[in-house]
Amino acid sequence: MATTEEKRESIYGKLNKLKAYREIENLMGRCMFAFNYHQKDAVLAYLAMEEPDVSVELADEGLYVGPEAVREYADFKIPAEIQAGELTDVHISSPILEIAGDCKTAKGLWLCPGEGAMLRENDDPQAIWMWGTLAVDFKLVGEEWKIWHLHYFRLMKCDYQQGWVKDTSLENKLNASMPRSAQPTTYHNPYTPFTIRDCIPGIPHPYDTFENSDKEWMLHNNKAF
Amino acid sequence: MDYLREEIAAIPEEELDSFELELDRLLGAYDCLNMIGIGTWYHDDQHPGELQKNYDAAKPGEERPAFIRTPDKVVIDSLEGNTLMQPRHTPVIQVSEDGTKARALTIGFGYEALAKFRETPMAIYSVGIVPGEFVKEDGEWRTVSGGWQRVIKADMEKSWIYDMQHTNTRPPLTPEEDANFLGRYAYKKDRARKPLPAPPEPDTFKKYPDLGDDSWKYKYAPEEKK
Repeated sequence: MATTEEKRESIYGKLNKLKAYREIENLMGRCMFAFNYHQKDAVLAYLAMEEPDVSVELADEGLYVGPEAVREYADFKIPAEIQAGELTDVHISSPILEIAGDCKTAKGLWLCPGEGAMLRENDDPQAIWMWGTLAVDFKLVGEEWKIWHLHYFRLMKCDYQQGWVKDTSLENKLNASMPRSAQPTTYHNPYTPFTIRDCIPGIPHPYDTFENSDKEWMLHNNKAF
Repeated sequence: MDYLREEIAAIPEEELDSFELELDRLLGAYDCLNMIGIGTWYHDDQHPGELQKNYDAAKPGEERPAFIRTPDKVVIDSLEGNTLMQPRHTPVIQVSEDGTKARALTIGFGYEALAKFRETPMAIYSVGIVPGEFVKEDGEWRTVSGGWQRVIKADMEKSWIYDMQHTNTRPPLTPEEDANFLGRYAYKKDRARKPLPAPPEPDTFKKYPDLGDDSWKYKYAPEEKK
């Protein structure tokens, strides 16, 4: 039988957790809008740039670890202006969100439908699908939740007319130079009609405190609940 | 968050239990969302039985409750190029007043690639309505039943006006069999849509207290319940 003080402490913990769920969902939603609207400074403000190991990895464009690397990648990835006819619109859905027992970190996974329009020379923009999965670690910095480690796993990126089976030409980045701070991509295995897909990223499981070993959860294909 | 401690300290002792129960119900909705997300992710991984195994693992040696349904007819072949990605949105989640049961309805909107014999897969747009029931046992939420009611499943190049793919089974379903299975309420250009399934209402567990009683889905068309 819990004492009155234990009950109050339990309520405090549950309220904290409930608040964290809502704040993290809003954080992710705001970050996605900022990314889609090409608001680079806003995107960076949602990241835990105070943390030396803040990291971002998108598809096969390399891993960027640390505030300077992340800023360099943002300069490269997010243009200052949206050009006429260009569209990037990535959504988040199907959340799996685990708040740590100590309520200081969280892990999340979202399925991300997306549509876009890519500019072409001497032609109308190309309508495309771009779908992926976002696996994210969050950290409570002061009283604010921030994105700590973010990894976008591409599911498919294709011409709208041809579809994902016939067109896999857009799934890998162009063979162009990347920012100097890029580290090798850790995982990139989008849809092809010739392979069986791995169930990566894995799903986040309930946990109490973020340990060093937790850093690899996204790359695990662990079906155990 | 220290202001919260002050607020909590002001809650009369006799109201603490009901306050905590309300919190558990709100947190339970997030747990159910997680279960919905997990189900979606495993479905694409071609292992829909994992959810049932999850229940079995938690209750070793106990007989699986009858209300857990196994998708025994559906074939999701582990073939090169097959995929099924149906992100879930528009969630309606209703947790029971005692915080031990929940019902949900979501829409799954996505794409598929379907091969049956290692041929080049067909690219498919698919949308379905997904009911679910959940139970909290030993402090943990679990999925106890799911489902899938097709709205569309169409060859990408033809659209849902002109194409409706059947659920993949072996042997293949006849049109009549499909119309009595997951395609029962699928879109057809020559018929009006039925309002099925209904989302769970706030009083769903007062009217239909038992998990496994799917009458709640037929609220707007009870004559359709078999």
